[in-house]
Amino acid sequence: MERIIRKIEPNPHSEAGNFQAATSVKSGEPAVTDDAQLIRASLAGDSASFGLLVGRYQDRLYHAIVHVVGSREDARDLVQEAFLQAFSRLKSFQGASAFYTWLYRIAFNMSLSWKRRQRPKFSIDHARDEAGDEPIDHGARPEQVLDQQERARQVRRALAALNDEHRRVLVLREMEGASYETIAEILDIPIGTVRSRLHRARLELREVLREVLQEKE
Amino acid sequence: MTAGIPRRRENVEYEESRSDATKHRAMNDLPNETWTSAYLDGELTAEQRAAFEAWLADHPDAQQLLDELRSAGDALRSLPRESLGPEFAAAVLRQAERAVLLPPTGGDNRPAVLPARSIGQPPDVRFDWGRWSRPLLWSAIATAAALLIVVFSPKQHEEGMIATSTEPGFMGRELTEGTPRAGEAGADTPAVTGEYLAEARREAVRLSKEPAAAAVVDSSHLDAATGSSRLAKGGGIPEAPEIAARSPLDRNLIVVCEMTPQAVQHQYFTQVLAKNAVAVENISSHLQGDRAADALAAKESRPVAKEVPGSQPRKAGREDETDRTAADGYFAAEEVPQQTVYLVEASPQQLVNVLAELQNDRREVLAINVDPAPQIPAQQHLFAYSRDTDTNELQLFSSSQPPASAQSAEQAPAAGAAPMPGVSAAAPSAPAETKQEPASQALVNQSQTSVSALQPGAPRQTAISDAPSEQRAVDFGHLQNQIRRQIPLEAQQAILSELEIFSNALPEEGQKEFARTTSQDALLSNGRAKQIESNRLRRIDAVLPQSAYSNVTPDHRHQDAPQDSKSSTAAPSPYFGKGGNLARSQTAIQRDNLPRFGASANVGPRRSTPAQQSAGAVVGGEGAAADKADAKNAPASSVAADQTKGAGRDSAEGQESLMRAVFVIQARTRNLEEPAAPVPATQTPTPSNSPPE
Repeated sequence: MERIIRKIEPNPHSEAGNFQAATSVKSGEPAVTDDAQLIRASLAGDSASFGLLVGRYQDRLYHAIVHVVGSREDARDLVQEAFLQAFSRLKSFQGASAFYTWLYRIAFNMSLSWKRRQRPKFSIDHARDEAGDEPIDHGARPEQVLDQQERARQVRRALAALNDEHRRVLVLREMEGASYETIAEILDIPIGTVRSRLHRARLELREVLREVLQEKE
Repeated sequence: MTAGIPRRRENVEYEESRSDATKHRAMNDLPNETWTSAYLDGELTAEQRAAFEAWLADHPDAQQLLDELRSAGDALRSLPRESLGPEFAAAVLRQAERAVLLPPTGGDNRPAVLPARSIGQPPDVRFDWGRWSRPLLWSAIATAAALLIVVFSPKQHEEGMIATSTEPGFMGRELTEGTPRAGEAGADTPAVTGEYLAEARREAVRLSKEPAAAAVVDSSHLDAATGSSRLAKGGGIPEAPEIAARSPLDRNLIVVCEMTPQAVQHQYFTQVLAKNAVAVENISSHLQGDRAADALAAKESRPVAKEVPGSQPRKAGREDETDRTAADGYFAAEEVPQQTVYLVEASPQQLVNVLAELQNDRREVLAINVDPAPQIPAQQHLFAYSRDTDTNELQLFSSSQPPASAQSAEQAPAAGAAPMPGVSAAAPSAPAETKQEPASQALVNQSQTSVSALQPGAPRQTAISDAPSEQRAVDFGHLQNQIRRQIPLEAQQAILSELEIFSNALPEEGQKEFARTTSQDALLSNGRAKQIESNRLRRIDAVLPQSAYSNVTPDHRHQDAPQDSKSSTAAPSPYFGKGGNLARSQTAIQRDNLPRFGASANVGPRRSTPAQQSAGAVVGGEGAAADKADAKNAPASSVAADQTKGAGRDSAEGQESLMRAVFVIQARTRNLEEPAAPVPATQTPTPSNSPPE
């Protein structure tokens, strides 16, 4: 087990677009085997293996959930609760889908419940406040930094203005690079619905972005 | 141009590529605007893509739309990555492991694994929770109790009590002289042996030596002290997940109740128990000379615990007697008892009633602290009662294990230093050295106050506190949360309704209510029990006329406690025999309050005096006023009993409703002159008007 753990280090720098590679059964990449091994080790009593799974996926899941719920604090709680649920239900994980897909499904379902508990709808200002200042690229010029930050705020506002269904499917597709099949599995909708919903979401995003840009001008 | 897309065409290239296999063949035959997203995402087959690109060439608007959608997607992807800190995984794992320590909530929520270790922990020091869970449980209870009960005396040894529900299904153990003791031949509990207890004690001592463990106890996460304190070093333990659905036997409470010395001396708490059909038995004599305890005491010479700073006079040099062991007894026989431990096993409704009655009595009860006790699987709950052992582990710890508290006392800040806000409740012995000095009495009082006052860093510490000005600082929210965690839903309503009287409208209406009740106190100063009983009937019975008592019927009790009759012939209890007016009170309570549960002569104390046998419960003498009050309120109680007789619950249901709680009754006097300064400024808002006392 130690050999496995040493070999598999959590990758906190996972980037968007890796969703397919991490979840593809056929790709044969080490990550797939590693997930299965870590799950088996966790079921065998090695909770540290589950900790490695958490470390591997925490940031990607958090990045997605932050933009779904629009609050860093709530997203952190949701992600933590999702991992706890995954831990408690690990025995029921059949391996039919990738662990990450399964984990995403748990988290997105929890975000739905969270959303029902929220009194106001998604607030653009709230999202902007929650987002805070953007990370500063120290290699860029000050005006570029400001432009980047302003651009990110606008995009967040536009994303927050979308309806929940559109925002979820866009986050999964554009930010996480999930395939239509994976999106369908996570959101529990037909694959044709994914395609049509994604198209409508993009159209809405385009319109909202246009409005946001006009507000700025 | 648009006719080149065959319907459901099977081509080799399509089949070879799995990614192509995932493409959507059910799209409309003709390229259109809705293909744009699929084209951007690469979800078109090769032929569809070619067809769409050809269509785009003829539709500049579609090309513009494609560019805009692509730009929008790029904007989303350009957002900076959000990330959690590197400590997040460890925090999640800590919480997951803590959840494992709690009983399963049933169904798929049951933890899949017993975590063997956490991140960063070397594999060779894996902790076998299965093996250690029970010792750690009791060591945690004992540690917590010992930290609170840092004074032990022979008198207090006699005060170790087990309060048992008279409800059906109670699996009581006999406490007769012939009962084999732990470790003796014939005892069928090899786990309850001296070796096992020694292990548990060593673990408790080890935990007490760890700063993290002390912090855990301090923060009232007593369950974490069972071992998850190891996991708590990285920060505070998050709140436990919802545990409302756990099985009834998996619920435990540790209730630390501070009463006036008079109330303690008059055994007020036993009255409350008796009124709620919880019989009390004294097991202390069996503990003395117990072989397991003696073996433990012989193995490890424990320094004596320092005394709780209290109001009653103490003997000088107590803290110097560090070479005495538990078997020696700690204090002189004439010492007035300061604390008493009751291990109560009763239905949740009974515990609710007991808590509510304590809550209502603002005259004698100064503070109540409800904490969740360590949680263990249900099958491990019954061992202390159901097995024919003569040794209760908690009592063993109480009688022979001061070192946890002693260690804590040694680590506590010296006299004059500010007491640690949260630790004060768990280690009230910190300023013990100063108790002989009048100038230091303020510090003692300060420490005492901080026990009950709400602390900003310990939100779950105190539910009801006794502010220096005798105002009630009631943090109803925290108490409600604790109740919700520990008590099943149907029983929550009673005590929560109790709290609503105050919590809805504090400070205004809460003050009025408080003033009214305290005025009644003043008017009924000679009939406190009357007021208590009337409050109880008005508030509790009105809320829970049936649910509180419906599973208690005389028939069930008789069916499920056959062994009690023979144990009732045991030797009289020296503790209860000293009360001059015990018999009168017992008779009154038996006549007036217990009928709703039926006569309990055969189901109450395992070892009782003749008076107790006739009364069916052991109560403290409160005087004629209490008797009259009880008699006056008898009809209402009887009505409640009559209403519940038809409930028809079977005995198995009654058995399932049992719940455990450790009540630590401490004596403390009010200190009206206590200045407000020592109390932390961040108190729960208290009524601005000081109610009359």
